[in-house]
Formats: sequence, C-alpha cells, structure tokens
Amino acid sequence: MKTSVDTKNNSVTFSVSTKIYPKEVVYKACYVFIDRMYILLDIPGKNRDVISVTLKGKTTLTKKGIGKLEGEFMNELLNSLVRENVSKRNRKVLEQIVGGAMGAALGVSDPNAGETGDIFQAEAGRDEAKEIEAAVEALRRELEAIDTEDDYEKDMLGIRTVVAESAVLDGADSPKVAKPKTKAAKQSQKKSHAKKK
Amino acid sequence: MISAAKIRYKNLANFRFTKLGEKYLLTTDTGRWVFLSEGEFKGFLEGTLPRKAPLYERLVADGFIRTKDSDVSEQASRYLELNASLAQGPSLFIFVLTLQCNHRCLYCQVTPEKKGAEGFDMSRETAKKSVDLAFRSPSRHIGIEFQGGEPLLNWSVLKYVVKYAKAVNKTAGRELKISLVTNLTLMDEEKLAFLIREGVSIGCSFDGPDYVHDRNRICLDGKGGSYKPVVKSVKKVQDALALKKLRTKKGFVDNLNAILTTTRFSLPYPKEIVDEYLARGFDNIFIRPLSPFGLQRQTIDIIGYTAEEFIAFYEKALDYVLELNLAGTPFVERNAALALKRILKYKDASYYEMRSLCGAGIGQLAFNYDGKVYTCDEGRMADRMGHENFRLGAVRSERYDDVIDNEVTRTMCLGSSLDNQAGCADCVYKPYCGICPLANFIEYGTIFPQIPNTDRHKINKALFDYLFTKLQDEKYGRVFESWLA
Amino acid sequence: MPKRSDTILRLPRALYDPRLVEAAATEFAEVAEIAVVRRGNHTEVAIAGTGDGTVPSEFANYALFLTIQSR
Repeated sequence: MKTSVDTKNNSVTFSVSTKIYPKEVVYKACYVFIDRMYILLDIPGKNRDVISVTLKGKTTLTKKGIGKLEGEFMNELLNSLVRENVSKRNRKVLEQIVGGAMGAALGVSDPNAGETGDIFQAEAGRDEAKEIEAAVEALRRELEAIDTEDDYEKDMLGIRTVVAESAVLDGADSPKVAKPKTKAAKQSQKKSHAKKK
Repeated sequence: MISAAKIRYKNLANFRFTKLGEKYLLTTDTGRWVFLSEGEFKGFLEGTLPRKAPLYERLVADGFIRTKDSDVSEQASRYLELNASLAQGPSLFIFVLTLQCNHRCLYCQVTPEKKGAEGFDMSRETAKKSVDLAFRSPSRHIGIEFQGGEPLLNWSVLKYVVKYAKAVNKTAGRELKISLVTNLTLMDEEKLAFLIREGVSIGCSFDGPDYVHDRNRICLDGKGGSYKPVVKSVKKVQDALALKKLRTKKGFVDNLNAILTTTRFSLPYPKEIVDEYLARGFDNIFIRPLSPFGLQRQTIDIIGYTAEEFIAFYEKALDYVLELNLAGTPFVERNAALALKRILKYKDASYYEMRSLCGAGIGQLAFNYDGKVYTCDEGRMADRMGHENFRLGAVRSERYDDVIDNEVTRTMCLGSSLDNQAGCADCVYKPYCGICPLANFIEYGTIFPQIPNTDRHKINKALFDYLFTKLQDEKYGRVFESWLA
Repeated sequence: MPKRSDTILRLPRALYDPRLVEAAATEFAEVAEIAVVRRGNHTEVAIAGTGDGTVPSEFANYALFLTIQSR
C-alpha cells in the first residue's frame, strides 16, 4: 500500500508490516503521538500482517507538513521496536534487581522486626512492645503534669529579646541583643523620634 | 542511520533513550545516564564500540552494556539507593491541626474555614492517637508536619504534639523531625520562641513582590494582601534563627524556607520574584505550579494558565537563577535540586511527587483534624471536595496494619507506578519522575489518564529536558553540584 | 439508519478492543449520539450529526488510548 497524502483531510495514510513492527510496537509509537495527532488504525486487506496507519493533524498542516508525519512516525516506530526488544530481553534480570533490592531493604528497614521479617508490628503482645508502651505511658503522665504555658517565660535561648520590635542584628561578630523596653523607655523613644522629624 | 536488523540485543542491558538536541540521552533503572552522539549510539546498539575505549568501559560500569561479569547484586544495591524510601515505610505524617484560616488565598488547596469557626480543630486526644499511630511505622525517620488551614490557630495542640512526640521518641529512638507550614501572619514572640527552642523547622508561602503576593494571598481581616505582615515576620524568624545558629555548637539549624505558588499574576515576573526572595534573605526558592485542589477549582479562570505558559515562566526563572549562581550569588531552586539529587547523586530525594510509587499510604499519611486518616495531604483535600475515596480509616478505630494494608493504598500504588502507565514505562526520565494519581483523579476523573496529555507530564518532561540540556555544559553541571553539596 | 451527516468508524477488533470501544462510547454519550454494533471482524461506530467536526477523530483516539492502556 503506497503512502497517500490527503490535504483536504489534513492526513496521511501509510502501511506498516507487523512482521517487522509487531502490534505492541505500533501501539507504543501511536501512544507517543496520541496527544498531538489523530490516529486511525485499520487492516485494509485480507493480509492481517499489514496495518494501515492514518495520521491527521490536530491543526491545519501544509502538504509538506502532512508528509513529514509519516517520517516522524516511522522514526518513532524504530525507537519503539528497540525499546520493546530491550525491555523483553531484560525483564527477568530487572525482576532480579528490583526483587534483590527490596528484599535487602525489608531485611534491614525495621529495627524491631520479628524473626519473620514482618515489617508491621503485630498488635498482640510482645514483651518488648509492652515495656515500651508502659514507659511511654509513664512519660505521658509526666508530660501532662508539666505546665507548658510558662515555657515562654523561661526563654532559655533569649529569643524573646531578639524578636522584640527594636532588636537589630548588626551582622558583626556578635549580635547586639536589645533588651525588652519598658513602657517608659518606649514613650521616651517616641518623643525622641518626634523631635528628629 | 540505525538499522533494526543490525542491533545486537544480547549485550544490551535495560535502558531507555530519547534524542535530546543532537545527541541521544540514555538512562538505566539505577539512575545512571549518558549522552551519546549518533555514531556512538549506533555503535552501542550494534555492538561495535571498541572494547578498550573509555566509552565502552563506562557503559559497562554504568550498566548499559551487559557482560558475563555483570553483577546483579551490585545493580540491586544501586537500585535500592535510588529508591531507598520505598522500602522504609511511612516517614512523613501530616497533622492537619485545624481548618481555620485567617487568609483566603486564591489557590488554596484546602477549602478552609474562617478564623473562629468551631468544630474544625484537632483535639489533644486525636493528636495523641495520631502520634501513636505514626510511631508504629517501621521507618527510621519520623517527620511530623503541621498543616491547616493555619496551624498556629490551634497552638495548644501544636505544642502538645511537639512535646508528646519527643517524649515518645525518647524510647522509640527514631530520627524525629518536626516542621510547620504557616502563613506567618500570626507568628508572635511566644510562638517563635517555642518553635525555635524545640527545633521545629518553619516553612511559609511567599509569592514575591507585593504586586504579586497581595493579589494571590488575601487576609480576611479586610486589610487586603498579606505581603507586609509576612515580610515583617520573615525578618523576625530569620533573625531568631541566625541567633540560634550562633549559639548552637552541635546539630543542624534549619533555615526558614518558602514556597512560591505560581499563578497567572506571577507569569510576567520570574526575575522580579527571584530578586524579591534574595532581598528578603532567602537563599533558595521552591517554584511550584497550581494543583487541582480546593479553592483553585473555583478561581482557575482568574489564576490559571496552560502548562506551556508555566514552563516558559519556570525556564526563565531557572535561567536567571543559574545566571546568579554563575555570577557568584548562591541560590537554589529546590524543585530542580530534588530532581538533581536523583540525577547526579543517584540517591533518593524522598520527594513523593517524583517517585514511582508515590508516597500515598506507603511514604506518608495525613491525620485530619477530625481523626480521619488519609493516604496523603492531597487525600484529605480531596475529601473536602467531596471525594472520600482516599480515606484509609480513623485514628480512633484503626490498627496500623489495617491503615497501611488497605485496598485504597494498593490502588494508589497501582496508579502511581510508572510501570503501569503506558508511555511512562518506556520514558527516558522514568528513573527520576513520578505521578500523583490523586491529582489525576481530580483533574481527569481517572488515575490512569492519557499521560502525554496531562499538564503534569508536560511540566515534568520540560524540567528534565531543561536539566539534562544544561548538564551537557560543564559550567551548569558545577552549579548543580553545588546545590547538592 | 445513519444520516448523511453521520460518521461511521469501522474499527478492527484485532486493533481496538470492542469492550473498550463500547466503554468509550458510554463516555462520549454526553457530547454525541453514538451507536456501537459488532459486525464481523470490526466494531462499527455510528456518530450522529458530526459533519466536519472533530468528535469522530477524538473518539477514535480515545478508543485507541483505552486499548493501549489496557495492555
């Protein structure tokens, strides 16, 4: 079947032999173009080894542009053939690689994993799990007894003083840390600013 | 001209390829990559490359060519290194402390409630059970991330979670990291002092100059955009962190980081936005496109754009960032840096959006304010929109095993496996890329959309095309390496 | 009886999965009147009143996409 360019329909039709490019390879190539072309596949005659491919531009193309579609598709067909064959021949090796990687990971991912390597801890009692839960419960009771409301007052890193409105870091060796202003000091500063204006 | 009949498959290991510019880019499942000229690619396929040539040896060492000495266990180790987070169990736990918010950002993914709305806060009891469930993960790393609404509006429970998680971790002995995502407008001295002292990392949204930020991020107090209070808070937080760094002899003190959500208003100003970040003392930016959740569905006509428009904006921003770096100003674009960790270091960046399988249910979980558990943060956002398909259960009633070993989790794994998506399985960027099945479901009504037609595919492909094109020039390679140092 | 402005697509069963052609027709029912008939080695799809529009091409693409995706 010869290539046929249909400028009225903005399309080109050509044939592909599935003896050279199996159906899966034709599909792969179609998938690459499916977002920017309309594609129609057919089996034109009695010979089921020949697929006709019609590519139609989604935007209006020149005759040259339509003709180029076939070349692009055939290039992609070759690429897809290589991909399909490489993938087929390496499938088992890839399974070994991925399986080996995940198997190694499951063996070390859980420091508390049981002998079966089960990565999900069982609900039902392991002594170690019960001990951990008891320790956590004790910590929780201790925590609830702590009044967290006065943490701000402790201000152990002096953050409160840094973020006060007038704090300035001068970028030198050691930062100047402004002391929190008293109400009187603030009022005095306002008067001083007013004078400068 | 490559001839199909001359290809010698026997010695070709599993690789993927594409033509990028004048050269062929090849990648392996372990993340290794190489550029070959047309002649080299032909020689590689036909098995005619000289055996003693450095190129042949490199192709063998990187796993493109199979020989009788090829070591499957070494390839397995490399694969594990690139995909380490897949095997460790959930390590990121989103705590949605409240749905209340004092903003109405045009692109908000959450569909928030107004500040003061009742019944939308996480209780201490729910928080405790959520922490307990999180620590049942087998992962060495436990990351707790506070989200909302605006998480600072549930301050007492935030503090409780920090304290309780640390108490639990005294016995559990994991690598615990706690972070907060906030709009910063409610940050006061008390809160900042607590967060700094407890080592909680702080992240915020910052959309650039006021003429962009204020159009996107609107305060509900009637004062318009939030640029001014955010900039003020940014300075306070950065000053406090600088002081902590000076006083901290050991240990890591995280910077204040910011995310840019790109809207139509951002598109004309890639350079100005980066400059604004620099002016505000940031040394990095995370540029992200819109995602199809929440309020964005209602405002898309105002703030939306095509994938092509976003790509043009993003490339201009990246070009400018690279220019700054080459001129001696270190500045990182974090989205690209996450991809580059996989590309240049062959290591897992633990970034669930760029991973096959994505993190839904197996890398992260989201604990909603009402105690419901979801596959991920997007899962609870989808529920807010009326799609409860991504709910795994509730903290009150579920065992850990039932939450994880769940048909929803399995479905998300199927939907995010690049091997299951036509086109992705053969894509040269497969070792570095990922899919969000939730976003696909919301946007296209299926977790198996026509991938080449999706905006996310176009954007990801453009990013990888950009990075690999730049990597052909050594000077950009050095900049990228510096981002990962 | 198909009208003159209808389009008839004849999709080979060896290339387009008939079940997925029917699934595509169900989805496209919102935009066009579609009738699907299995006829010998083909699935015939009649799309009503489409004239010179793009619906038939979009439908064929979608049916192909579903077939490829299912493999």
